[in-house]
Amino acid sequence: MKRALDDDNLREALRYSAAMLGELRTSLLTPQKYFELYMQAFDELRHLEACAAYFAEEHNKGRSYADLYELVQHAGNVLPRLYLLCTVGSCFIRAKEAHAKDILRDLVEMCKGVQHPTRGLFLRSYLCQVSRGLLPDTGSEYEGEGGRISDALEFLLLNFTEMNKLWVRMQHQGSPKDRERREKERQQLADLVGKNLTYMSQLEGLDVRLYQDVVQPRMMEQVVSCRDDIAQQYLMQCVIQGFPDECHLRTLPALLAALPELQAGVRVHLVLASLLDRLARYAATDASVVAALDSCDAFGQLLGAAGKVAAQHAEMAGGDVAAMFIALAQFAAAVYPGQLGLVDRVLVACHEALGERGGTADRTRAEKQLIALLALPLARPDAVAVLGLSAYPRVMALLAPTSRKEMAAKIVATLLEGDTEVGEPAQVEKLFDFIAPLIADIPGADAGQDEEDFEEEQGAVARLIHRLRSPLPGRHFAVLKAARARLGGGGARRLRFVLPPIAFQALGLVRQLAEGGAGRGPSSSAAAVEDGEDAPTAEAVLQFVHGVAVQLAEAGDKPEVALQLFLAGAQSASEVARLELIAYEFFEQAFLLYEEAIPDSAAERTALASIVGALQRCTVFPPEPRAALVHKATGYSAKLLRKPDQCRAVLACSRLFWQATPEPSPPQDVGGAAPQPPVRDGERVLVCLKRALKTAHAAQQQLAAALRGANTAPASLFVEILNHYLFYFDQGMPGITPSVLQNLLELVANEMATEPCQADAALVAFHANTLKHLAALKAKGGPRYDAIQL
Amino acid sequence: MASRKRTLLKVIILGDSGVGKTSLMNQYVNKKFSSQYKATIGADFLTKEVQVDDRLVTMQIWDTAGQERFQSLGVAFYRGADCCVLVYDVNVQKTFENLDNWRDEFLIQASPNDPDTFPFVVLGNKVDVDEGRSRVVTEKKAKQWCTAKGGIPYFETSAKDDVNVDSAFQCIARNALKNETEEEQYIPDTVDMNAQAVPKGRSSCC
Ligand SMILES: Nc1nc2c(ncn2[C@@H]2O[C@H](COP(=O)(O)OP(=O)(O)OP(=O)(O)O)[C@@H](O)[C@H]2O)c(=O)[nH]1
Ligand SMILES: [Mg+2]
Repeated sequence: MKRALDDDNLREALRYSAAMLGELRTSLLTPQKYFELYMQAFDELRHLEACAAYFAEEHNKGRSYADLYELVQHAGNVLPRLYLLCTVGSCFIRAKEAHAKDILRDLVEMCKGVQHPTRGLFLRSYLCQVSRGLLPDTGSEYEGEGGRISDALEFLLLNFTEMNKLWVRMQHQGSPKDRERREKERQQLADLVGKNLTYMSQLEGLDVRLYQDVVQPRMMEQVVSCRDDIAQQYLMQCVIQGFPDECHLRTLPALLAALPELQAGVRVHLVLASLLDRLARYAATDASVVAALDSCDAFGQLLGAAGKVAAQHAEMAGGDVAAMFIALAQFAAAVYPGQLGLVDRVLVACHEALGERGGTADRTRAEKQLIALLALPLARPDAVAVLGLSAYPRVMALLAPTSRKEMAAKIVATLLEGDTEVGEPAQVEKLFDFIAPLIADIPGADAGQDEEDFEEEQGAVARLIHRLRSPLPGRHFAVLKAARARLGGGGARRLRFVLPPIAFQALGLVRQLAEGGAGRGPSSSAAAVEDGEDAPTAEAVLQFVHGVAVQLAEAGDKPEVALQLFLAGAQSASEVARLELIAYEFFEQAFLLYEEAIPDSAAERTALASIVGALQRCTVFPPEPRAALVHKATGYSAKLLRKPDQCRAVLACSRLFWQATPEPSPPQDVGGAAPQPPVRDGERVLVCLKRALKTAHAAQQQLAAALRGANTAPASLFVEILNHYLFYFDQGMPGITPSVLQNLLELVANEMATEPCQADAALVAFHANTLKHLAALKAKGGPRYDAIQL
Repeated sequence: MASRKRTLLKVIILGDSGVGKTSLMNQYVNKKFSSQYKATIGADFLTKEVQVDDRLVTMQIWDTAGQERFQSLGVAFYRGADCCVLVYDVNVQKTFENLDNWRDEFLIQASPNDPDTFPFVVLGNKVDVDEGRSRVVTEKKAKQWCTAKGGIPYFETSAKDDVNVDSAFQCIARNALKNETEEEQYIPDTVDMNAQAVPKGRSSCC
């Protein structure tokens, strides 16, 4: 062909070109293969174009193209003929021998002669390609007599419409069983159709007005009326991506109005997401864009469109519905980062859209999307602000119980990650609405959960309770009361996790009140008065703790924990608030619980040790009530089942009669009773010690009788007793003389000399340490130690 | 008839969406710039006559879609390319990291005779943005990459302010021309799509 051109034998050249173009009549190739063939033909036609130009220059100036245009009409086959016509037509326009608009209209009409989809699409694509730059665009050299921008647009819109029709028709050709292959091929051909839009958007003369008045209505009309899934899906993306932001901003209502009109098979959420993404990027370029968005309530329009799509497409999958709202929430977060109210509107709309569908077919995907939507506001630095989203719990309620619970756990984890504090009773209420599935049983939520999961989950809730605090005592107390009111209904198995942190927080408040001067410090009361919340009295807070502990005790799940609460309350009442009666009441409750609820002897032993330890530290009680409490404690020690337990308990009780001198602390006016002087009753101590020795001997005999001589437990008791003697001796208690101690030392030494004891390495070490301790005391001790022989 | 025999150079521009491929081409060919983003759909070219030393050549510059969803038809137009231009945005790390992918993709699809010597040119675009303050890929990093790939020429450009655009395309033309003349000597014009092709002797004799 090229040689033919060189020989100026144009006729010959055209004949070869036509033959070559004849190959494009094949129906055997896939679009991508056909494209390769097309590219080869295309390259050849470039040469033809160049030589035609040369030919025209050299010969018959003025008439050349008209002749050529005539000439190629005689090519035998329609497809080659039209390719040649397009080629020569473009030369014709370039030479300005004809008006662009006329030739273009002519060509775009004549191309209707090819109705085979693939061939037609490529032919029309060729027409566009060769006429690029030859359109009567504003400012172009072909404008004027050649036409106007409207002609250029008309040409491209017509070509686009025709191409889309060919493309859509393809769907309905051939047998249904080839559908998959056909759809794949259609997808491949998409860009040929879409490219028309690129050509349009690149026209200089296309301003926003023309876009609004001409281009967009025509495009959308075609897109909507073609009623084809693939075309609509693709072309909506083309429109959104291919035209500039200003255009979309100006025509938003029309663009959005198309969304609900799309076919059921179109994934509208992707289209909407694409638009939102564009608008968000656009908004980021300049503050004036945000103002423009606001002035047309773009957000409201977008939200409304999503709602409408969901409402009109009952068949739309729940996951896709949720995906639309995710895109909206992301948009709100990107464009209006501070405005959580918009996220709330998204949630309200999402709830409405999904609520109506009830059970969704794609349950798991919908769930996943909803969870993603709900997770969005949690990603904010001020995650606690999520509590301001009124619709949040409602949307959560759409989730299946297990997912709802997972979401609640995620909220808790997020709040724990930051240094969130929740300091308003109303906020606390909301918080518990949000995490409702964690604070009470909901049917179906615990499927597959084992005890360990449960403990972990409740442990997190417990940690969160420590974040419920306010610097204002009155408010803090109100927050704690609100928490108790909500959490108190969570059932026995939750109470042991959630009530103790409430109680301990309250005890912290008691300390704070005491340190602030009976809770009436000038700073706190001033602030509190402003808020209309008086700081509570320490007594009121302690009553609260008492109530919490009683509730836990009554729940009966873990009496040991309730007992610890009573003792902690007693200690606080005594040592911090100095309220004798309340402290006494706490001990009473502790004893009651001890008697009624502690399950086994091991638990009894530790419970009693705790009681005795607490009682020993309390200094608020006058002699008489104290005696009553001590009496009870010693009585329980004697009643323990096992001798070694009895022995140890009575040793511990001995300390109740020998209180430590309190650390000198700055005098505090806590408004309660002054501390009592430490109890120092050597006689009662001695009684306890002797009882301990007796019990140890009894234990020894009991064991011997049971022929279990190898047991070293009694020997261990003796060493423990020795340690107590040593303590009181060092304290200078008159009843314990050097000789008493010496005797005991020998007794223990004898015990230790036995074979089983020597074999017990731990015991040997214990003994050795005791002796080492004694040696140390002796080294720095006074003359009382002189008589002690080691 | 040597005067009539024009050299056609085919140049392909590749790179992520939004890096400024279309803008660079428009600046070079039409001396125009628009700040609006309009995604390119499919692939298309503009031509431009250029003087390289004493030769007048026609450059056919193919602009392509960076968005994957608008590259549905494949890359048959890579065929016969004389130079490939890789563009990234100096303000977006990812666009630089993707250069490897674009280059590999081109070499695989276009399968030039000698992949090691096929001419590429790299353009780091949008150097004007924020007066360079928001840039994340340094010139040094980009040059290192170019050196590692066998000494690819590198230009820092701004389609907006028309910085380096002409010199970059001058270099592109020169390299394309070098490739073209080298290839011409031994590449037969093969049209093998169909048995009924136009007789070989007459169609491939330039
Ligand atoms: N500031 C600045 N902006 C530029 C420059 N080059 C391009 N842009 C802008 O970047 C955006 C994208 O430019 P395009 O040329 O459309 O990008 P592209 O690579 O063709 O994108 P696709 O067609 O999607 O592959 C447009 O808004 C341009 O105005 C530049 O050098 N400086
Ligand atoms: Mg582009």
